Amino acid sequence: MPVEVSTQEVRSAVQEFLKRFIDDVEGIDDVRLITGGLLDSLVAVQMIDFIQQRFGITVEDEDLEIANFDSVNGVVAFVDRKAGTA
Amino acid sequence: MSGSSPVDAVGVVGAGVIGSSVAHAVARSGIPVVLHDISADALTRARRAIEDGERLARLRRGPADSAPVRFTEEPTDLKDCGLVVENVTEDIALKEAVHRSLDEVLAPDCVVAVNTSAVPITRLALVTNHPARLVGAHFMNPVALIDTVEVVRTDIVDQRALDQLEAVLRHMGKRSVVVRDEAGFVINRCLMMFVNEAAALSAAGVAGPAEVDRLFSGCLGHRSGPLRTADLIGVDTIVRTLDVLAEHHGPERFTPAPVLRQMLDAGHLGRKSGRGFYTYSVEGEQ
Repeated sequence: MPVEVSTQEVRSAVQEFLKRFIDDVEGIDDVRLITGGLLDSLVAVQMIDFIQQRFGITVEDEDLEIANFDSVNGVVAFVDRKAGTA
Repeated sequence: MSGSSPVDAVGVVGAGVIGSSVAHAVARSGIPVVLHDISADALTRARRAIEDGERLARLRRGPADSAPVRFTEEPTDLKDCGLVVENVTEDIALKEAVHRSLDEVLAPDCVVAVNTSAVPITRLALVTNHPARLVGAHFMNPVALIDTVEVVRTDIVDQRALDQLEAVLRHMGKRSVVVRDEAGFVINRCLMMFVNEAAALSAAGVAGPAEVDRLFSGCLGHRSGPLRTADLIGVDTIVRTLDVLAEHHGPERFTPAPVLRQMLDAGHLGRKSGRGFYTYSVEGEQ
């Protein structure tokens, strides 16, 4: 079951997750996290697990598009779509 | 992936982090894999790791027509493999024992690749009945996404064995860089010195881990600084690799910094334990 959260809560949670791996998350909402080399590939998978657990959504194989996970804004939009909070 | 497969099946021995990643990458290139470990638990974890690896590879490279991976605790299941990649822990005595036992089950013309970050291949080759078929293949994790492999040739290798390994690597879409056999080869002989010094100066308060890494990424253009890299590799593996390097190249350059042994004793192994030079786990998170 998707957890009811606001867009801002999703953004904050994703930023909190990223703080473990990126020294400074200020102003990185549009920065390319994976294709830009800021997050390595293994952390990308960990981020997907985090999103699933935290927001109660299931990331299906067809959701595994780079655009959904390559930026904070992309992740927020994806979670909003999956959780129906947009 | 390119052309028909140079072997019918690839065996992978050792289902830990890197063994699972090798198995996944080989299968993703369309070559069937026999993944062998003596631990049923390790094989169970490997299934999950391969699923995760596939999600990651699909995210970065798109879908693939993967060949099957057979999970087995039975070493004789490796008998029909044309290439076997050994990935057990960086413990020379253990690796020697594994290679002696592989001699008993593998076909005489099977090529054996040792996936190691530091152990000299020649030393392992000489304990086997077929020393000319051993080559080194130092894969990087995640194997499916890192397209260069450090290949190690001994002075006694059969050229056919090296050709066979490189043919499989090409099929997997990998480039190989061939180097001579010496403990640590190129990558880890250099990388471990960076990690060791960075750990020591961080412990001495010269700069924190984040500052050290920021200098490497910001000034030198490295994607990941030495201490983030250490957390990814695992502090236990770092210490074992340094010990191997110290044994072969002398203790002056490669004795592990005391802080690394302290982290090992405390279980602060890096990402896999949730804490190393950085903290990765959050209270309450699974």
